[in-house]
Amino acid sequence: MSALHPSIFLLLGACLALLPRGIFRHLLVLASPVVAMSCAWQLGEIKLIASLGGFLDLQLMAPTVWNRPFAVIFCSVAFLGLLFARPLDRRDEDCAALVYAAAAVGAVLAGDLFTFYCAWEVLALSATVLVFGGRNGKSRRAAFRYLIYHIAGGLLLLMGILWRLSAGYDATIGPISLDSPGAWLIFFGIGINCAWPLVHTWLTDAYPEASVSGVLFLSAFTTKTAVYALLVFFPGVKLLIVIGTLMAAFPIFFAVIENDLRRVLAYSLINQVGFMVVGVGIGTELALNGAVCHAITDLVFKGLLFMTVGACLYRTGYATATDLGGLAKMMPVSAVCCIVGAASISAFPGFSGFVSKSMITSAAGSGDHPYTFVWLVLIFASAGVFHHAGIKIPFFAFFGHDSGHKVQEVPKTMQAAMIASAVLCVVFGCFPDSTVYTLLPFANEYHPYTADHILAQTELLLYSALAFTLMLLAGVYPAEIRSKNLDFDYLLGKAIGGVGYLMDQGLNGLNRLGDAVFLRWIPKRVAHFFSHAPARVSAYLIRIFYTLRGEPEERIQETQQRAYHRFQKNALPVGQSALYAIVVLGILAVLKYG
Amino acid sequence: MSQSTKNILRVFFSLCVLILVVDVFVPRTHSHFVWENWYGFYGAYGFFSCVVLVYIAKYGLRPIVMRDEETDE
Repeated sequence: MSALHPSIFLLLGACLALLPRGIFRHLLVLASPVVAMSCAWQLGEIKLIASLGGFLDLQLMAPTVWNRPFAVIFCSVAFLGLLFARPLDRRDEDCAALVYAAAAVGAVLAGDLFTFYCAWEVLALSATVLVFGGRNGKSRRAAFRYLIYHIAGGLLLLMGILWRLSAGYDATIGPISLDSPGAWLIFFGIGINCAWPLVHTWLTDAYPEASVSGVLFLSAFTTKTAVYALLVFFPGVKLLIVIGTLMAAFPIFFAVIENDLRRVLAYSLINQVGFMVVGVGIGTELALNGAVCHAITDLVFKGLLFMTVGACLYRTGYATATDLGGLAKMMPVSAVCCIVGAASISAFPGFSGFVSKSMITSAAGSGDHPYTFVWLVLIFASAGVFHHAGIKIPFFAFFGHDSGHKVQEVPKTMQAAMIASAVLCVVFGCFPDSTVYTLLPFANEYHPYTADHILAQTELLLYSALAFTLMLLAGVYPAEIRSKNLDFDYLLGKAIGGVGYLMDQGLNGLNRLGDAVFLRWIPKRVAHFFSHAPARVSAYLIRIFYTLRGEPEERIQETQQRAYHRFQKNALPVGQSALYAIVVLGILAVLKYG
Repeated sequence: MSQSTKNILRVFFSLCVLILVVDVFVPRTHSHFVWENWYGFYGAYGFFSCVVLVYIAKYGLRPIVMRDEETDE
């Protein structure tokens, strides 16, 4: 048993990553996730509590059956990603990646909401640094958009936590019922990190812009930490079934027509997370086991797929289907690893996806009230993911038309990372009972290798592949076009523009109205009143006075006009002014002393 | 189309036929729904869902969302 927090070693590694370049730095960077993993592996029941002067106890580490598997696998994929990143030799990115891993491990191991929140924010910041790592204008803009989304998500989470605390709930990590605004805020805050539909665009926007190695860490930690959070906070919330089903289905359509292969993988990442969210929503032991299991296998095979596409990008400078193809002869190791990753994500029997994804579909179909529609969508999504990730990625990167690149296989360390991931995929797939199934929170009674399940899955995939082949041969399959596909963020941009327009029209209109009424019309009337009233009054007085005296009409009018002009121009003779002043003073004196 | 591609396709098509033959003999013991017991259900479902997927993506989604590569909207 260990009472050491694994993140300590990851953070130490992050500091050591900034040492001068050399073999020493490489070894230290690789050693830190290994030590952290052995630490995570030995976690027992011991909690690590930091007392802040008696008013708040932070449970920095509270190991449970839920977070231990996540901590272990996070450290493992951090190691694999860093191994893959060795030839790039980027100190800033190694540092950010290790901080990111430390934050992810810190978030899943947290025992109270405050610790969880702090780790959550570090997660967002370090991930932004990794998106910046693409080192071009596109990645810089994407990183800012990424940060905006995650700051919004983090603030929702913080508001939710504070709301709950002020309502008297305690801060320990545990199931939250969706009965107060605070709970809903936490729910949606996590949802943003989980890439729920409509707020998923940060993922497909940012991940393909990161560097060859940065995307490995990005694809691993943020969404899986969110899945973990849903697992511990909201297990069995039925709304998650709806959200997860949508997530599993809609990205497939975008992935089919996407040209950038890393963006295809980003869409399939949402699709796989959708399966996990459905598992959390169903909430039975089998479903929750399935969600954890699929998170573990997905971390490995999705990392592997990003590595193989990254290998193409590293060697050719392209990750787009139109610019790749025919690389299998020059990069055989990458090609084989890519096929293993593709077989795993597609859940071919013998590969890791097969033992984990089927737990969730099986959970959707079993019980007294099976989720028939959800089950049908999940099977459709399984066929669809094979179609776009399973076939499209290897086919357009390594086979298909010859792109004319003359390249070598990637360096040995990159190969080692890919091979290690591929071996893990096969081992998880072939021997689940002694590997992944031992990490699950509940005792496992699910057996994936039954004759009818193997047959059903193989038949499903073979005939999906047949559809792909026939459509490709018939020329129906959408040709790869150099293009960019809009997503919901386009609508969001339009919506923000629309809000701006309304604000402009509404608030500026109000401003213009106020200006016209209070600054122009009213002062004008007031000025008019004061400049004309005395003249009018005097004209009336003159008419009455002269009429009484029996003066002729012309004389009356002439005197009126003269008086009028004098009043308007303030050109009254001094004597008259003095007379009026004395009259007014006299009236005042009478009023005061009379 | 090269000879090796043709060979791969031949093997692949044979596998598709083979699995349908195997389908006759495998007993359904873990089905959740009635239709899982139908002969060739998974093959048909996989095939048609992929066809529908591609048609919707190509003719439904692409005309709406596709833009020039360099546009920055």
